[in-house]
Amino acid sequence: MTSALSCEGLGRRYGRRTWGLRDCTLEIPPGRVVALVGPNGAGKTTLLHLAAGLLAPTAGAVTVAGDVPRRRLNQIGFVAQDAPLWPRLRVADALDAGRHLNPGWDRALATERIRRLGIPPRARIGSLSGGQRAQVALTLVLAKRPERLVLLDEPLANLDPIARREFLTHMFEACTQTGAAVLFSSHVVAELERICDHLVVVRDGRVRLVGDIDDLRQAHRVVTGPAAWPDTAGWPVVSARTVAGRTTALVRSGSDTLTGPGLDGAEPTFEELVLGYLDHDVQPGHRSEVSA
Amino acid sequence: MTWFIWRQHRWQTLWTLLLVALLYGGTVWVIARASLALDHLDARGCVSQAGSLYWDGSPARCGSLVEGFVKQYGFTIPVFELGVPLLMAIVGSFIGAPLVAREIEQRTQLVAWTQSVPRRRWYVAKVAAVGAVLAVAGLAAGYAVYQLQRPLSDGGVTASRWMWFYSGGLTPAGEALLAFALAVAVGAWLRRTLPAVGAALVGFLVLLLVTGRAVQILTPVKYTTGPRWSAPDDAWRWQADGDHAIPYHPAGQFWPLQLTFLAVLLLLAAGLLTLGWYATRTRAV
Repeated sequence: MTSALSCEGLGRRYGRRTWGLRDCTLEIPPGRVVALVGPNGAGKTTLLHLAAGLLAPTAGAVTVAGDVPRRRLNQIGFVAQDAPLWPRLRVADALDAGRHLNPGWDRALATERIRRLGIPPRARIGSLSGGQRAQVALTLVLAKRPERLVLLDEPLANLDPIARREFLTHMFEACTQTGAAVLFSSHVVAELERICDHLVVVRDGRVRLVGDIDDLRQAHRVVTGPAAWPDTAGWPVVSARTVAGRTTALVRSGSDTLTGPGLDGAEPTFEELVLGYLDHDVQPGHRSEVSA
Repeated sequence: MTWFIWRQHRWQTLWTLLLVALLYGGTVWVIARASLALDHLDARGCVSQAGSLYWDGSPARCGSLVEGFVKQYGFTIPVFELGVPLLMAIVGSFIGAPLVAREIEQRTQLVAWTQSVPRRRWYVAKVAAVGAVLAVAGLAAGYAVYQLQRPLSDGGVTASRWMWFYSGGLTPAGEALLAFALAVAVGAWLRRTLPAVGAALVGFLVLLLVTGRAVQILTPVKYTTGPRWSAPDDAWRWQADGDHAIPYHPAGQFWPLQLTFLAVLLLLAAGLLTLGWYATRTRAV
């Protein structure tokens, strides 16, 4: 089965020098729920825009189900950061727009969802709260019925906890039915663990880590020991942090034999794994770059 | 797509049609009054067999009457000659500039271009639909002004219909489309609406002056011949009569030159819309 999303040496340059994203190679199988994590300005949005066909790659290639994104528009759902929508349109008009612009539109789903959320269909979108607007944007995506890929750029930022859970449940129900993969960026690491089975970490325009979360956790160890122990160990350290005379490092290795005098090793939690790869505050010489 | 374009642009469309209707009303009013006044002068015997007013004041009783007519309707020349191209420029710029730029400012291009309609079709459909409305509005304005000049030209207030070359007939449609295309392209490049409106207005006036002058001078002309060296009254001239040959366009050239000018404006508009598409494709996200 072809990948829902496949990037091969994908890069996008802004201006002459600045790369928003560089050398990105990853495969996302159908039906996966993928967390896209990275600090601000890391390249998450660039990657999502490339996958949605909004940007053309400067280097490499991106395909959705084997074809370039702009030829798969009806199979890709996309919600941009802050869920922009035409402020002067009424909610019902926005849904009508979705109906007229998408052949596979599920009208019943759209009207039912808006009704259940208690959003007045006659209200102008500009008068809605940020969360309500996000709900309308998400409704547009759900009713479009994207079959291959759903791309969400921090979709939950404006939602309250109940609305988050409600949306995620719906999203995953819909995607299980169609077999679409979901790729969404978020800062709320704790929330991602519960719903995602795949992880992509981006930093400084490069993909640092890609893979199934369980596999990734098994392939890493968090090791604590005396200050500056990684200097001598010679292990592939991802990042290390010294607090109160003890150095804790995230190390790439699956084996349990990775121990030494005074060292405690354990499988990292999801959060430790993500933060380990996001950490900028690495002592010089301890950083071991991992490119996926 | 059609429904969506109508939903997004219906107020612009209505405003444009309202403006053109006002222009229409104004011209009809002036035409009716001018025709009445001319009939009045005709009844007094101040209109010649050929249909023009006795300018030289003969017969004597006509002198002040003719002067009064000219005073009353002389205003129409600058008002319409300058007003109509300006109106077309304003309508075209204000409708064209937000077409792409407003979407970028609101970030709604991210929504519009991730629906199932490809970006190219979005652009072509929008430009074609809005451009068609502007073309109709421009043709209507041109027709109104052309009708307006007839009693006045016949009455002799405006020597010839060449005075109305840039404001009547086919040119307003071309002007509206050129201003629109320029505004679309500048908007897509600058990614901001208001600066695009300003730049499009200035750019349009420059383009209009340059192309208008070019069409006047670079097309085939006739030359005055001796011994009087003067061009006919209904000629289009841009040099003073002297004792040598000067170029001019005879009255029969009016419609051929209108078509030529329209073609030049439309070609420019098409080129600008292509640039606008290029910017939309490469710079708009």
